[in-house]
Amino acid sequence: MITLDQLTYAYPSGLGLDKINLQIKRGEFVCFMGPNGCGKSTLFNILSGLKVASSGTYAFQQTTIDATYLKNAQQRQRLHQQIGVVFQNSDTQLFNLTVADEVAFGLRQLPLAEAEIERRVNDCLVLTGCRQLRERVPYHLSGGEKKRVALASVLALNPDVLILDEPLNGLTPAAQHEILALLTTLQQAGKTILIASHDYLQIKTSAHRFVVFNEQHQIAYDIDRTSLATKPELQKELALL
Amino acid sequence: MHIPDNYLSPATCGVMITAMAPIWTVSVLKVKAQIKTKKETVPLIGVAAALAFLIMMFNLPIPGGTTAHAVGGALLAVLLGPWAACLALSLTLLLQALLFGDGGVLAFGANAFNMAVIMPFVGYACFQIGQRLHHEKIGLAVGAYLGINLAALTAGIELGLQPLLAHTSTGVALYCPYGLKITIPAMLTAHLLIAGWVEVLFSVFVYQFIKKAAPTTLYQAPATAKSFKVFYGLLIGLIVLSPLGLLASGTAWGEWNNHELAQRLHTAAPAGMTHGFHFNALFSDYAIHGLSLPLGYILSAVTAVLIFAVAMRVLQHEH
Amino acid sequence: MSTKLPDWLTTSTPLPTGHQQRHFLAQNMQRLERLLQRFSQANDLARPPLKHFIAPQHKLLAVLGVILLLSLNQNILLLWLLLLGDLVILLLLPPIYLRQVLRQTAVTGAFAILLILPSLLLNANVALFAAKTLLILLNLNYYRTTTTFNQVITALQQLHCPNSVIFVVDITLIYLKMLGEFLLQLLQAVSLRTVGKSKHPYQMIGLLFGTLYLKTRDYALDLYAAMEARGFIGVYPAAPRTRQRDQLYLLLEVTVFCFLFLLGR
Repeated sequence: MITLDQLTYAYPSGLGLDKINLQIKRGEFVCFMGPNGCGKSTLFNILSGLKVASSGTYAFQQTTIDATYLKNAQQRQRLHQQIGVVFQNSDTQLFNLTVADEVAFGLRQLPLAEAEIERRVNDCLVLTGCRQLRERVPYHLSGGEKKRVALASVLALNPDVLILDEPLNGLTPAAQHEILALLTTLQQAGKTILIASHDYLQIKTSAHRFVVFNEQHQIAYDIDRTSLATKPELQKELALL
Repeated sequence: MHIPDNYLSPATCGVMITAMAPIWTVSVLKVKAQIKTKKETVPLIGVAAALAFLIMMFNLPIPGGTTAHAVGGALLAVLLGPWAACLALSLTLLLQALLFGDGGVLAFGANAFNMAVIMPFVGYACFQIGQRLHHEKIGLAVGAYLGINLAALTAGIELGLQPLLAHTSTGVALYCPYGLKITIPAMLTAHLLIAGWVEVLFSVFVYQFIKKAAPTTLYQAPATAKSFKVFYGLLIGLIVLSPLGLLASGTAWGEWNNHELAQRLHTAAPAGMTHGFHFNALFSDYAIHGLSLPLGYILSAVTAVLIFAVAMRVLQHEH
Repeated sequence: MSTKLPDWLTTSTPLPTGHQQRHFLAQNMQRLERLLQRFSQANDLARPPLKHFIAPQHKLLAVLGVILLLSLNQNILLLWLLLLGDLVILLLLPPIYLRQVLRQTAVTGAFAILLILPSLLLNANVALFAAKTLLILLNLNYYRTTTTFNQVITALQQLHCPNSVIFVVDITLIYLKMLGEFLLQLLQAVSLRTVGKSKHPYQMIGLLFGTLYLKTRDYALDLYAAMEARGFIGVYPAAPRTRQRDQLYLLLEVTVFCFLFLLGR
């Protein structure tokens, strides 16, 4: 579904990603780990079409995503529907007057009847457990509530790939558990889940594959859960990240 | 709307800066009073200046595929109060001039007067009238539209006066080459037709959001009727004084024969000038009738300061 | 929380077709990125750090002096001398900065010239005006390109600006970066959720800047709380003492200014 070939991204101040090779299949649950500033967020920005790689290629469903592809508004919007992103800072993702409007923002641009929009908004709010927040102003919600609303608003567009940057930060343990359960359900329904996390212990039962960056912005390990189970010293290292 | 350097004569720039000095002083005093009720006002001015900067750099789409940008003068006045808005906008304009290449450094005073005084105060006055009539949004819309157009008009006047204020003895303008007949329509058409409406839409939509999402953060005017009067008096004073400041510098040059000069501007320049390298003919006899340049400059500046001091005194008495 | 997914989440979503619009979002994101780059210029590998021969306050005074001279005088000899001086200074710049100064001057200059072109129809001689405008732009762009934000603050301190002014200028620059980043992320979030024709752009811009205002307010409140917690009483750390060399430099500057001014008369 996603293929990265020798993908490099350079900031004016230095490299953001260094020759990344990566293949992700439909329905995978991948956790990206690594120290701060190692390139996770840069990678997510490239995957979602916000940034274009300096060199190397990025293909999504066998289509190369580059500057020319993204220039076309319709192609870009199609990519945005297929790849949903929940930002690390959900403050910057919420800008509507009510939670219901927030979730309906993307839906209102689609050729859907008002009743259908209403149904999908409701479904998303129920799934993420924020039905009671419906008429609240998103800006005034607590950090954890904002995270859920952001997830609901991204989910509403029914993306094939869901990218979540540190989605568990600021959530209570119970809420973390609920969100992970929802992500697993989505993954079992065929969605691809890409998640960045610092918390190995929290995520280890949900994710199937771990991609670990080093400080040189390269991939240090790319390992699935069963192989990881045989390497206790690597597990310890990940838990300390 | 940002007037670049060299379009205004140094004398006009000096007058505008001196005119701004008392306004800034009063703003600081007023904001100090505001701090007693809302303590975060001081840092808020700094942060709001950053917000104003972003508003001014944001490209707003207009029909036809091009873009315009809002200034947000009226909106900031409604959000922060006119005095704080004046300071925040001045700060933004200063940074734009020094670091980002928007508007001239010497023309800073003129730009501040147009965008940091006329816009927020006119905008806020209209908003308050609207508030009394229970149509806040209409008040803000009218204020935003009037504010930006009055600011554009003032900028047009400042620019258009230049050929009259500073020119060679043969009537060649030294700074902005266009007279009032050209600058005023040029500034006003663009703002009346496009920029004004952009400003209105921007201000009203942002206000609407904040009014619903966080109504308590809006600026509350001190409720006394007296401050109202002072405020209006000052507002009218500022508007009346702005051309006066310029006129004062004009008369100081000892020449005030509009028609003749305006006509000269429109007719041919002497042949010697159009032929390039007769620089002597062009520049050596740049002399101002009756007064030397620095003296006229100082005189006009002092005049402006004194007029403002008198006006301030009058207003203080009313208190 | 229910774990059963609704049917629409497992089937494909209908997308709007045949819609193309030049998006102002992308344009603004680009502008913001360029603005934010200026804040991280110090880390830019392509830019060698500049040697600063004179103290920031003198640089500021010098550029103001030059602009004032250019504005006040109508003497071609003076313009010529200043141009020569500028060219020498430009020669000392590393090429990357030089290109930037010249590019900015060309762009802003073209705009200024365009504005005065119609006056040629009126037969006015504007060659001198154009030359002066270009020189002023060159000097300003040189200053903007070679001066960091911190140096401006230092210059203001050294010029004995009131502490409160410096404090507020400092806040503005810091929060310009923070609010700029916030707005950029908001725009990115909007663009990631733009899958078709959105509602009226101004309605959306109202939402974005309304949110930005609320953030502005929060930043100010946090800053105030932090200031209060640290016992801030409005005094900015004292400026480093001026060196004797700087004083001499000031004297030199004033002399040169007076000389050139008289020369231009």
